[in-house]
Amino acid sequence: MTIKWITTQGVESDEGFVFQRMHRFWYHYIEGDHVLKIDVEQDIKNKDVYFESRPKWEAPFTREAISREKAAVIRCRVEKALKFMGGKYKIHEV
Amino acid sequence: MQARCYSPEMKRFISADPTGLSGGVNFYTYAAGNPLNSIDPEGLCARPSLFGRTSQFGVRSANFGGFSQFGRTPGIASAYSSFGRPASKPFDFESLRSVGPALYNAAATLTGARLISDAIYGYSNMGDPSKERMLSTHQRISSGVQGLVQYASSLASIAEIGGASAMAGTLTRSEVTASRTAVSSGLPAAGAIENSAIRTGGSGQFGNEFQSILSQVRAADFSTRRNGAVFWTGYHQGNQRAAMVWAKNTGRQTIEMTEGGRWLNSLLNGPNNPLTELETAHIWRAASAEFARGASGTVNAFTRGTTVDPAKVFYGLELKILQKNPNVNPGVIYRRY
Repeated sequence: MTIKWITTQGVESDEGFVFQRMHRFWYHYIEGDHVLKIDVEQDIKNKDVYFESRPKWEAPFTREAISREKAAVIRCRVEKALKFMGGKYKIHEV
Repeated sequence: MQARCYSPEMKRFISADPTGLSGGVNFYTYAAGNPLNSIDPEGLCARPSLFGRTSQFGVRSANFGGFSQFGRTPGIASAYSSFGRPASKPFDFESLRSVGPALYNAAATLTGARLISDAIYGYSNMGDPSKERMLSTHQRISSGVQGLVQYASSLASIAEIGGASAMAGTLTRSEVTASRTAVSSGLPAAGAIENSAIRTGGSGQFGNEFQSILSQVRAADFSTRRNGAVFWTGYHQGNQRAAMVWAKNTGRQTIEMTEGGRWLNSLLNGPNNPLTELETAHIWRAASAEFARGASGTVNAFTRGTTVDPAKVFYGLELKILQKNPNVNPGVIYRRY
């Protein structure tokens, strides 16, 4: 898997997803036209990332279920993206 | 200059004073070595400047609240604000004491360059035949002034981030000392910031864009009315939303609801944010410090579900500033909902 920067706060993977900091308090995991919002709180030392155990796509795909297997894949990809982006981080399963 | 050539890089004349010893023993100084109080647009004779106010730089406790002499230079004005705040915004970080003199020196140089530049610009608009050359010189000086603005801003940010972080316990005493040493030894202040960030696990670039936005943060308005400041920590716990709803219903403001906070949100959110994540965190931290300094009267806070962690902006920075803010009543009211 290859990851590259596409913005100052966003990366793209050749696996077909984009991970972009969109707000002071959340990232967007983007796969095609599907967007998953992932909360983050950052200070100057660490990032606390909150990954929902039952994540849901943003509108208009809120009713489209994300399987456990798919959620695990997304979580793994998010972790790879965070690792690539650098800095200390901790993923909290909530 | 009309009678002599001036080098903005060397900040002195590069041709000798045609008036000889009558202009002083050094034939190459500008305005008798006193550019703050004097101007010498012809290169022949120093005369008092309308803008000369040296005393403001000579006294550490001077009040730079007006910044009128820097009307077109908001960066330096905001940098000053860290050192000569109006009485309502006291600033007493220990770390600033060693940084202050360096900032004063940069500011004094800046003021001299600005006055010279303004003089050149003024002459260029009087129909002088060498207008183009003068304009070019003015632009070069302005460029130099911009560099000084960034330098001064860097010093201020060192003081802000280093001092505040030290208070928050996020930098060790030796790291703060290292930052001070870097400043006093003349190393680029921005580099010192980068190093401190690297030491604390960050990877921010702290480039010109960061310095520019940091300067604007210092000039932005994060103030609230008396009893009007509402703090919160724990976004994921829902405390931001609770704080904003309560603040709105009671005529108060969280940092996001202040003019400065709305501006920062519009600037730093979305994929077009020009800063890195770490730089953005530092900017919000600086803004939070301003918010806490501007608070007065009774302070309310929403902290449900969080633990006291000095790495968090509220516990490690805002709370400590509030405790030292003489305009804030003792004791934060923690709101439950």
